[in-house]
Amino acid sequence: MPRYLVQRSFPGGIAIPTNDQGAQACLGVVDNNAELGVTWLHSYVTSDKEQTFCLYDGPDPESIRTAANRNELPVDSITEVSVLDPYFYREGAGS
Amino acid sequence: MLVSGEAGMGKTSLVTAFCASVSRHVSVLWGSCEPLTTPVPLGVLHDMTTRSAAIADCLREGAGQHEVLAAVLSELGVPTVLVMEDLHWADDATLDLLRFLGRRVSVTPSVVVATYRSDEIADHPLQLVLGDLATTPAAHHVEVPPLTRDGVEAMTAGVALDADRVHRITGGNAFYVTEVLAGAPSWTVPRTVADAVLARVAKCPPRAGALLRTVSASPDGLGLDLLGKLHDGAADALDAAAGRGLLVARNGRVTFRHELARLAVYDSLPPGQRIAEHGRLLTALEDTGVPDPAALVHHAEAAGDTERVLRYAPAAAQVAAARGAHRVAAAHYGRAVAHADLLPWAERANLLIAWADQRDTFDEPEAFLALLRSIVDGAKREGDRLTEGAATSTLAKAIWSAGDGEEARRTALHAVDLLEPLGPGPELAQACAQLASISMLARETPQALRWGRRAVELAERFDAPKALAAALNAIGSSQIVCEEDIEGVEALQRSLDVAVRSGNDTAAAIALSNLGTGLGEVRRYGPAIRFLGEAITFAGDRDMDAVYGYDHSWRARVELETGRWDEAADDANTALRYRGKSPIIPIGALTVLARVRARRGDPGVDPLLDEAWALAVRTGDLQRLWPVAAALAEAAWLRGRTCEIPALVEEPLALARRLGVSWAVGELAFWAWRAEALRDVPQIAARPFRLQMSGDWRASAEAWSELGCPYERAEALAAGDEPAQRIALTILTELGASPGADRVRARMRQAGFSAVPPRPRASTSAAPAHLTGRQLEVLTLLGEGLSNAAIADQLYLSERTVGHHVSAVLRKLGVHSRAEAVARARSLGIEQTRK
Repeated sequence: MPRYLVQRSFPGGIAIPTNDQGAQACLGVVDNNAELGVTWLHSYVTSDKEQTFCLYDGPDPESIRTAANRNELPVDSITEVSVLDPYFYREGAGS
Repeated sequence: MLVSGEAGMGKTSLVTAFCASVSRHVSVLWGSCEPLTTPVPLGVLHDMTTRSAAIADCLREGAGQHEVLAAVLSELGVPTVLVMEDLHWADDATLDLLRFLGRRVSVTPSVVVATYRSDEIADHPLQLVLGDLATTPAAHHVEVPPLTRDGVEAMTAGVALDADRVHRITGGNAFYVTEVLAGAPSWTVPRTVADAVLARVAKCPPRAGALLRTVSASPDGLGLDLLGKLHDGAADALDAAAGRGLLVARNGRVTFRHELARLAVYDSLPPGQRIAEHGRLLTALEDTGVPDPAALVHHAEAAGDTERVLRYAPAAAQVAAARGAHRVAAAHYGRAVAHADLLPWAERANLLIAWADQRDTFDEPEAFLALLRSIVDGAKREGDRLTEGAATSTLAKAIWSAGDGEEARRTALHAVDLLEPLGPGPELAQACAQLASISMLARETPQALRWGRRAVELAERFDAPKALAAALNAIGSSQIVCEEDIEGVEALQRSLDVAVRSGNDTAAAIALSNLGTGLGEVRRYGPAIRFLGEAITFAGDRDMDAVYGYDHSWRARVELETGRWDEAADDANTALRYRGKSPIIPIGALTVLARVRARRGDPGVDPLLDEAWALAVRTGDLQRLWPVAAALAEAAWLRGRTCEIPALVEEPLALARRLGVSWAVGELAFWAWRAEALRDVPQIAARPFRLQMSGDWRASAEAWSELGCPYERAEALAAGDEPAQRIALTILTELGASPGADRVRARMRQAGFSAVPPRPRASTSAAPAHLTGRQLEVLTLLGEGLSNAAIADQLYLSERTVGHHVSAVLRKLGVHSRAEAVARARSLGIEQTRK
């Protein structure tokens, strides 16, 4: 399944409370995603909280957008990515 | 509910017990398929006719396949268990019924139970149906396993047999265990099921034995009265056999209790005796008033009675064909053909042609082409030009379906040449219609019209509805897509009419489809969507998967071009589910999906277009090549790789110009123009494209607006002055066309415009009151007190269009006047600030 990096902007900053409400919101997102075969892996947030970069596994870009609509999240861009890890390249490793 | 298991595992017992347990609350309809070499089409329904008047009526009146299926479905409106047994022996029509019910039963309060032998369906059409149904939510599967050692023990309790030994030898086969138990207690466990059965038979009195041998030769059992005529003392003999659990009598018919038992007895007959039994049954059946041709063929073949096979097989085939059981009908004709060497050519030709007709619906392309070529050669040798011509025409269509358009057209023309000298007639009508169809598909308009009109004239004269429907379709489609002549709609509607009245579902589905796709190709979106909707419903009701998928791929294209990209992606994905049915489905669907992604800046564009292009090139047809080439050009443009564009569109554009298809010329020339590789603007280019290439972006944008293509409109405005570019930016932003919007922004900054709107942030998918971007623009201008005419000027729209938008705004805000609308908008805070 392809992996996608989704960029989002939140003028004024995104705020997810670290309490039950926040937890419910996150789990609700997970449920909506699951229905579409989309898995939210994790996100990176800028210090001013106005931008997020979110990693997803999903079948295609359309599912990512549908999931975003259902969760009322904005989408600036979607890019397909794959993992590159500095420790993957080792002397003598691989063949 | 699919119940599978090897022979003898106890599927029937399981289902019977289930039905008994629920019979107090629901009605039960039970039918079985028979192991005839030539199954009776929809024979599974015959047993149900005693309990269902609707089904009985349909079968008696010879209703069409669609009516019969609908009647069965209606029986499921009340809680019912409908059992279809032994589907590994099913004919095509029964498999169609299974697929039909399987797809629809989940909305009824009923259950369909289908049983089959899991080990006998390799390479069987049933597997395709099972594959189809596996994805429906309503399908459940139960595999009946062999009895466990404990299960065998439970059955052998109280009998002096070693449960371990029985389990080991029978392998847990329930039927085998039953047979063993029946022979207990005195002998050793027999080594095979057949031995067990024969041991039981050996214990019957001689008359019962003779009866068993006769019944074993008839897989679907025998009527009691027939048995009485063949055997003296049949009633007593039957009691003896039934008492030993070998035969059962139900509804006046006698059958073996289990198919394995019948086979054991039948296989034990020496060949001479087998032939004799079949011969006696054949004679006896003939003497009855209404013999079933399929049974007669079965016995005639087994008795080696060539003359009778030839006599009855065609009749049996016709019955099967009428029921939609094409494989069975083909099998009957094939049987007749195998025995037909000594027949005169004329009769042999009829059989061969009828055989080919049935095989058309399911045969492998290679085998089918070989058959047709052999018919053509045979006719040529015999000097039978009429058959040679007719078969050549059918061959042309088969060649086209196999993918070689050029060869197909040459062959179709040759067919007409063969038939012309013989004078007018229905065969010539069909050949002309075939040539017209192939020409239409190649967009050779003058040929399509010329031969189509000839075909219509002949078909009307000689009452050939199939040719008439095909010819009208070719004419109408050509008129619409090549001449943009709306008279084509009339011709296609007439084609639909003829098809419906002659019960030709295939032709009707294609007529509806071509109405939708033809109008879509010339961007008459309103009627196109309407016809596509009807086409989808028609094909869906009849499980016509190939047409259904194709119609979805086309509706996706219409939705793409009218700015509804979520719907377009949805329909494209639906179409792709049917991509295996025909290559033209993925060509269209993949292209639409790729364009949605490219316009949004989403990933996953190239693999889709590469695949679509490879498939399109194989067909060589303009209408497949052109959209993919345009999509490739657009993708290159949005990535800034303009230099790649000319090579992508050069050949398709040349083809489009030769064939004179204005929308293809327009779109492809437009991309060449954008890449600065166009020498002169083609006059036949479609109007909105031509205007833009000539520099009149304003008129072009208005033309796109009239058609309802927001993205193309924005692209035209983007080539205009500052206010136009701002509007383009708004439209592209609202559509979510990031790459296109970025290009406009970059151009605006380069031109030094002030206050270029940045990329929007946190754009919610639904604006307040659900106003579209254009409606917001109109509303803002309303707030400034402009009249409709003034607004039209500002936004480069027609006054009538502005009027429509104002009405929509009033409706959505729930107000009745412009003043109210402005006030409401202010209070909701949804005015746009103009920069």
